[in-house]
This record gives sequence, structure tokens and C-alpha cells, in this order.
Amino acid sequence: MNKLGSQDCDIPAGARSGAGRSSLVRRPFAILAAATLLLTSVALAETRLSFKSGQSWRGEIADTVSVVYVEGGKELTLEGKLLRADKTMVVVEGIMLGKIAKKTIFFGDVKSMTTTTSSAPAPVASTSGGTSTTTPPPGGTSGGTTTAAPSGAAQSAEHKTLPANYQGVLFLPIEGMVGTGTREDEIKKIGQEADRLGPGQIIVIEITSPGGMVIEADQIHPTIMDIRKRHRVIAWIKEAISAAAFTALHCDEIYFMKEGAMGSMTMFAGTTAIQGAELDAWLKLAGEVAAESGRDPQIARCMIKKSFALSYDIPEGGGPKDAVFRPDTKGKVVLDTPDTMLTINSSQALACGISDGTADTPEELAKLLNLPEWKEVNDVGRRLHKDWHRTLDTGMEEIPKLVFRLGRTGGIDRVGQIGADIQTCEKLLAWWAKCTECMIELSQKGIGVPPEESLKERLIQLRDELAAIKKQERDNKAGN
Amino acid sequence: MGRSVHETGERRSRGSDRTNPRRSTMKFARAFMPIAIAAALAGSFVTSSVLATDTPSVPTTIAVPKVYVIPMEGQMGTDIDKSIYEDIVKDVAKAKPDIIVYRLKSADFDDNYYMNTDDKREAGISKLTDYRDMVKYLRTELRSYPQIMWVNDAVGWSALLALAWPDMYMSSKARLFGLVKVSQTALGWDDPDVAAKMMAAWTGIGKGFLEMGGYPLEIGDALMFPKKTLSARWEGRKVKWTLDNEGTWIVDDNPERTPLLNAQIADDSGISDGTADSVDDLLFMLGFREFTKIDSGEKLFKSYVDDWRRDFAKCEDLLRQVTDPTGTSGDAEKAIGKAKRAAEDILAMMKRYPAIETRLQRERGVSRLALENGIAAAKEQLRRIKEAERAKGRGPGGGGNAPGGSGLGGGKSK
Repeated sequence: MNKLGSQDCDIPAGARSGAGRSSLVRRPFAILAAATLLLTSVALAETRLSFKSGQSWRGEIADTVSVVYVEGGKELTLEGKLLRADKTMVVVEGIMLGKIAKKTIFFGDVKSMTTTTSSAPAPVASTSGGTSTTTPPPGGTSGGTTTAAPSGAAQSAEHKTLPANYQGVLFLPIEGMVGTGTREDEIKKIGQEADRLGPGQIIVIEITSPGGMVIEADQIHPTIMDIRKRHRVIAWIKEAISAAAFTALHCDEIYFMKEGAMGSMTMFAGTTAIQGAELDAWLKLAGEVAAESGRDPQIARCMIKKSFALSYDIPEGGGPKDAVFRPDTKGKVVLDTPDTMLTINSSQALACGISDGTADTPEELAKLLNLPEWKEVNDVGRRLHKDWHRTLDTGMEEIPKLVFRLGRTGGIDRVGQIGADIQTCEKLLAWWAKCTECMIELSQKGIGVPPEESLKERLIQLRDELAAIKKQERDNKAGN
Repeated sequence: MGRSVHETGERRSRGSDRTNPRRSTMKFARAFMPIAIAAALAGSFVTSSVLATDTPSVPTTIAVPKVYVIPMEGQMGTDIDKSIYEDIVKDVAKAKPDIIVYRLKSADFDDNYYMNTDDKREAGISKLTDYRDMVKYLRTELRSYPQIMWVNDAVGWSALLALAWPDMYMSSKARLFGLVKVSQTALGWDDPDVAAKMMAAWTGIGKGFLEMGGYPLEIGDALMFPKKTLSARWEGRKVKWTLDNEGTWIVDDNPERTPLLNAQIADDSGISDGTADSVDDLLFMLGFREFTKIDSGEKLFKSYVDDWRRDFAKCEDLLRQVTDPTGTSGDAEKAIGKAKRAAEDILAMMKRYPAIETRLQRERGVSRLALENGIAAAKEQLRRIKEAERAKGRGPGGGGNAPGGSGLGGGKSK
């Protein structure tokens, strides 16, 4: 798998090295939502689709189709009912891992599509060799048979009932720049805590972040997708901009605080947005992440590129979750125009189903989550947040002072100066070990933090110089 | 006799066609309390995903309510800062009022802004997310009290505060204007996608204030973007706002300027709940002829503003002592010591009042870090002076190098 490069959403860094990701566990959508989508999909008497592979298909929405597509480098086949087809994707409802699920497949990934004679949902997705399996791989596309795991809606329908081992939620606030305040580390640890408690935990991630490093978002991506295989992951948004919005899109459910805002996922390096193949890869990934969580990929794409537009209609009698999005401004409600980027507020998100609800307090959120009360299993998440931010805050305060002191303290005596510099170097190296994020952020702010290697070299030089002086003194004494 | 609660409750309409059916205004709740309770209970079984977090309704059973006034006056980001409201929240808990009134008066420029006579140092500080968190803090910590925003003037960042509470009144001369600052925060990017990203992000955060207050986002867009026009039309009792000139009532049709909402416009369009020129008038409009005013919040606020501004004024002189200490007769050690003490005093004031740190950073480029480093450098200089003296005292051959160093103070060496 090619990892995403180190370009930052908000802080200049190096170029991206390409796109790719491990195969993702998918969750089934709610049957009701799927049925509603069927009713509201762009249905013509006959639909004709032409794929980039050169193949084409002609038929009607609700036909049972067999789609051969490529995902994660593997060729898969999915049979099921065609729910929707437009200029960029098809949505097929089939059985995956024993459950009815919806699968969104972009045109670029479709190799062929044919209408089958059967009207019932067909068996599982399989490799093009025809082998079918109902067992999901442990994770990633490591060869062999790959199956599509259930996607969002059906599992979220299951999620609304509490698991048998329910004790409360696991709450994790993530706050600050992605890459410094907001890290994959804490998210991974809360996942480990959830695993310790048993499958089916409810993890609430409160997000207050203006975005940050793509390289960190790249690590958060597989971590959340992995956690979601076993637990219910919920984003509760105060501020989710850029890489933080990308993080939120991974979650099974998204709730907003009233003041919440989410979007603006344009990736840039220096002052320039990424272009070309990198942009295409980012658009694809973000769209797929949105789709995996049961949201229209166009939403994610409009958060990346200004020239995309987004509007929606809700069919008569339908609700927010039935919103049918379109890539123009002709829908009844316009969310984004071709000269703006999409950042969405709480009422907008609620009205079109991007958000599952609005809650300002944990107690309100508990009601929306169908919990009897807001109860946290333990304070592991809060402690993870508090401990990391204490380290971060201390580092951001102490490190600039240490940097200033290097070479400036120790008195008039050279031995004293060397001693002081040795202490300062050792402290700075300790900070490199304890909080690399602090060092990087301060460097980017122009504090002049010495690189780790250069500090190590300087330490050696200082120790050598000190040893030489002491030897000279001993020699002098011996000579006297 | 002023307007009755029932009249104003029925008269008041707010919001676009996205009015949240479960959101109850103070007056509606007063008038239709039993129905509202029943509806809320029924609604809890319906899949409605917004829960009412608005503050309680003004009490109906208290004849003479206790009214706690919380000033939000002066400069945004210094006078109006979360630090003072933390003290006020504690005081509110002791006072246990029946109603809280936020009195907002903060303007980046006067009416005669074209005269360019306003002190630009007193313009609001750009701290959008801090203001958001401050509002959230107040609305959450004081959520058990009915809260009313009373706008005496709101020009600049303060307009966000005006629109962050659902129950809002204005005084007759009040302005609500100046949110172009929010969109201006995002300027300066050449790449069109990056520029659009920043604009969407900042204005999205800005519109979060209107979400908290329950105001239509179209108003936020019009107030933030000069090129957006604003008009309204009535659909029954509801006002529908649109970013065009198609409505019955054109509020702003100038694509080069943002609208200025005065009290009349706000009242007529339902943005505000009414116009009141005093707390007496305000309470009268709420249906109370008599009330008891708790002024401890005002005292706390005044004391805070007086104290930090007094200390800030001292900083001017102290900064002079840092860069050019007087009364040291050319004695380097004395000069450095005096400069160090001045820097330490400024630092202490910065830590006591974040407002001082904010202003010094903005006006003089003096940061806490710079002072701390300067103090460290001064200490090192003093140490070296003492070591050099000791080495001299030991006679020839004693001591080592006595390098000069940069740092605080001046004067000649001994």
C-alpha cells in the first residue's frame, strides 16, 4: 500500500508520494434507508451507463446486476439490486458477510456490469476467480480472497440497540492541530481500551480541531477503520476542519454541537493546493471514506475542490436521511456553489442527513444515541487527552526557553558554559523523544529548534571538549 | 402598558423556513407552557435530532424577579474576555438570580467612522474560536437561568455575541454590524482552492454563533460577505431570508458593503425581540413592572477592566525601563538589574491579565517568551559580572572569559 505523503492540509511540508489504502471493512446500510434511496434515486425508464473500461450497460434502476470492479488492487464481483446510477457511481445492494448492504462503486473502478435474471439479492462479493467466502480478512488486502464487509446503515440500525455488555461510553476528546494536539496515538489507545472491554463498545470522539498534517490523517484513517470493525465510533463535532473533517467522516455516526462546523478539506503544500494525480487520489479516498460511512461521496469532494457544487432534494414524505445529492445547484437546497468550498454548520448537516443529530451536552448526546443516560465506562479517554495536552503545553512553553539558552548560559567559565550546554542539549533531546510533535510545530513557527541529530553531535562535541579541558587541568596540576 | 407577553410571543417570528419546530422562545413558552411541555414530551418519541438546549423561559410565577446584569463592554478580546466571566459565573451561583441580562456594548468604530478618529488600538482582537468558546461556556454554565442578550451597540467581532443568544433585544441607537472581519480573516491566499478553504472554514466557524442563537445563516452570510445581498419576505408569520433582492423587503442591495442592522430593522424583521433603552424598559417588555437588580456582576466587571487597564498603563513605563533603564548612573550591573525587574513586573502582569499580554503583543510586539528569554539573559549577564568581579578579586590568573552578551539593560561596564 502506498502511504499518503507528508503534505499538510494546513502546514507546509513535503510532497505527497501517491495514494492508496488498505481495503476497508464496510458496514451495511439500514434496509429502510436503502429502500428509500431506491425510491428517490434518479430513475429513468431506461438507464444507460458507459464505464471508463469501455464497457457499457443498459437497464433500469432496481434491476439485479452483477458488477465486476477493482478495489485495493483486487478484482471483485458484487451481485445485487441496482439502487442508483448517475454520472459518477453506481450503488448496489447485495449481501456481504451475511448481511444486506449497500455498496457504492465509482465508475472508474467498474470493469463491467451485467443484468442477471435473478431478482433476489445474490451471494457475497467474490474475486474474479469465482471463489466466494463469507469470512472477512483480518484486515488489508494481503492477497487471497477479499470480501466486502458490511457498510454503514444496517450496522448502524443494529447499533441503536445497546450491546449486551454495555457499561457506558468511552469518551475521547481530541483537540488541536492534527499531528500535534490531535493524534492517531490517542485514537488507537482508546480502540485498545475498547477491545479490552469487549466488542461492541460505543466510542465518542469529541472533535475540536482546525486540521493539520496529512501524514497524521493518513495514520488515523486505517486506525479508525479498524476500530469500527468491532465498535461503534461516533464523532461529536465542535470544530472539524480539514484533516479533522476527514477524521469525522470515518465515523459510524456524526453529531454536531450547535456551533459545530465541518469541512474545508483542501490539501495544500506551502500556499498551493495539490493538483493532478494527487488531487484525484485525495478526492477518491475522501469520497470512499464518506461512502463507507453511509454518506454521499459528493459531500466529501465538495469539501476539497472549490469548483464542485452540491445541492439536494428530499423526496416528498422523506426525511433528512433520504436526501438525494446532486453535483450542481439545481436541487431545492444548495449547500455549495462552484465558487465556494463546503463547510457545513449544524442545522445544514442535520437537514440533509450528514449529521445524525445536534447535541450541546453529553446528556443530550446520550438521548440521541438511545442511551439510558450519559455514563462513561472509565476516564481512560479523558486521561489520554489530558496527559498528552499537559505534555504538549509544557513542551511548547519550555522548549523555546531551552533553545534560547543553548550557548548563552553557564557563566564566564568555559567549564560552566559547557556544563550548562550539556544540560540544555540533554533536555532538548529528551523533548525530541517525548514530544516530537512539539519540536516540529515549534520549528515550523520559526523557533529554531535544533534537529535531533545535530543536538546529538553537539553533545558529543561538548563532552569531548569538557574531557579535554579536565585533562589539561590535570596535566597542569601534575606539571606543577 | 407595554406589549403583553402573549402579544409579543405571537408577534415574534424569526428564522428562515428552517425554523426548528422544537425550539421554544421565551415568550412562546410563557404563553403556552403546558402545551410546550406536552409537545416536548411527545416530540421526544419522534425522531427529531435536535434537543432544546436553550435556556429556561423567563419565570412566570415570580412577581419581582432578581435580575443579574453581566456587562460585555469595551474591547473584544481584552475587556470582554473569558477570564472575567469565570469570576462572574461563580458570583452568579452565589447570587441565584431569576434572569440574566447580558449588556453588550462594544464597537470598533463610532458612527462617524469616516472621520477616522477612532483609536484603532481599541478595536476588537481577532480571536474567533476564543469568543466561540466563551459564549459556549456562558450558555452552558448558566443554562439553568433564563438569559437575555441586550445589545446597546455591537460593531465588529461583538456582533457575533449579539447573535449567539436567541432572546435578543436592542437599544434604539444600537448597531449590529461589522462581521466582515470574519471573512477578512481568511484573506491573503492566492491559490483559489486554498483561499476558498480558508474562507469557508472561518465563516463556517463564525456562523456557528448564529446557530447557537438560532438565527438564519443567510443573515450571517450577508453580514460577513459584502457581495451578498439580503432580503426578506413573510410567509405567514415566518420570515424567510434570502441572499438576493427578490424578497419583499430589501435589507441590503449593495454588493460592496455589508448591511448595518439597526434596532428598527432588527425589530421589524424579527431578528430582535424588541427595542429597549434601559433595563427597566427591558424587564417591562418581559412583563415585569418591578425587579431587583443584582449589580455584583457589574462591579466585578468594572473592577477587572479598571485593574487591567491601570496595570497596562504601567507597562508603558516599565517597557521604557526594560530598554533604557534610568537612574543607574552608567552602572551596568544596576542597569541590568533594573531592566530585569521591570521585565519581571511586566511578565507578572501578563500572567495576571491575559488582556495585557494580548495588547502588548499586538501593539509592541512584546511576547511572554521574549520577556522570559530577556530575563534569563539578564540573569546570565549579572552572573557573569559577579563572576568577573570575583575573578578580579582573586588577582591575576583568576577567572576565565567574560564574554559580553545580549540581553536587557545598557550602561557601561565597570
